[in-house]
Amino acid sequence: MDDDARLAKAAAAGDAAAFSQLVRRHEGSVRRFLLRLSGQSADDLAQEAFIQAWRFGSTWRGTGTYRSWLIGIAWTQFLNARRADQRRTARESHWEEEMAVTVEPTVRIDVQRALAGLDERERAAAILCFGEDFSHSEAAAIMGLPLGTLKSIVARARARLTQKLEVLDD
Amino acid sequence: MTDVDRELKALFAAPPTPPDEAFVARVNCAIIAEQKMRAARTAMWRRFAAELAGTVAVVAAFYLLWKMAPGDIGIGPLMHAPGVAAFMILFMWLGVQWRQSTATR
Repeated sequence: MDDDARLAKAAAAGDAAAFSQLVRRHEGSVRRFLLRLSGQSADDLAQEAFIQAWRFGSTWRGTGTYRSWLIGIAWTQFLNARRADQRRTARESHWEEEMAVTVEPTVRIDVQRALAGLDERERAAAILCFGEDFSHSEAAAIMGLPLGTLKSIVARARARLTQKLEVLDD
Repeated sequence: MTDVDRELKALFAAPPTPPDEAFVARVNCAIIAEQKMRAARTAMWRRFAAELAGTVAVVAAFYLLWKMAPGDIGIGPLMHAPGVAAFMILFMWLGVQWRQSTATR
């Protein structure tokens, strides 16, 4: 049993210190994923994802990695927040302008700009497969998609990213 | 993995950063609040269940007393039946409980 599994088991039994260790290990990954996905600081969403993980810790069966389970929760949180957002269309149109102001210095601007031109699923798939180093099957499990669908989304995202990055280079 | 994939991975690569202790502390606070809320909710339901059980027992006892009162003897004596007194006590108790619960909100 690896460290994450041991800590997750303790956290599921109510050990807050063990859960704190898990937060320390994975907060960077979860926050980076949400930041790239939404184009702005998403610490509230990340916090909500960790609270959900705490509440439903016993539902993690250990079939995938704990990190992929957490990112899956973060993806669901992101989708729920987007659905709840009544001003979605208005925000989408201002997305690129917001980027210049809110993006963190650790994230490359050109990649973020290229990502901004993708739809949500393409963006998430690209971040998971290229940014977070998940395999296609792990990314499919995180996004709740069949493997074939995920592969075509990644292929589409790859083509559009390449095209956009070439344009940005010029 | 294709060359394009490798290039994209290189572009996406983020430098390793130490854990953000401020964020960890923020999540810890939220978890503690969640634990307290859960404990309060559990205590509230336990208290409610205990009071409900007590009320049911008292009502059942009063109902039995009511049934044991002498019947068909006119309204005056009926007012002195033990069941009536018991119900008056019950309603007073409920009134006090209600006042207490609204006062503590």
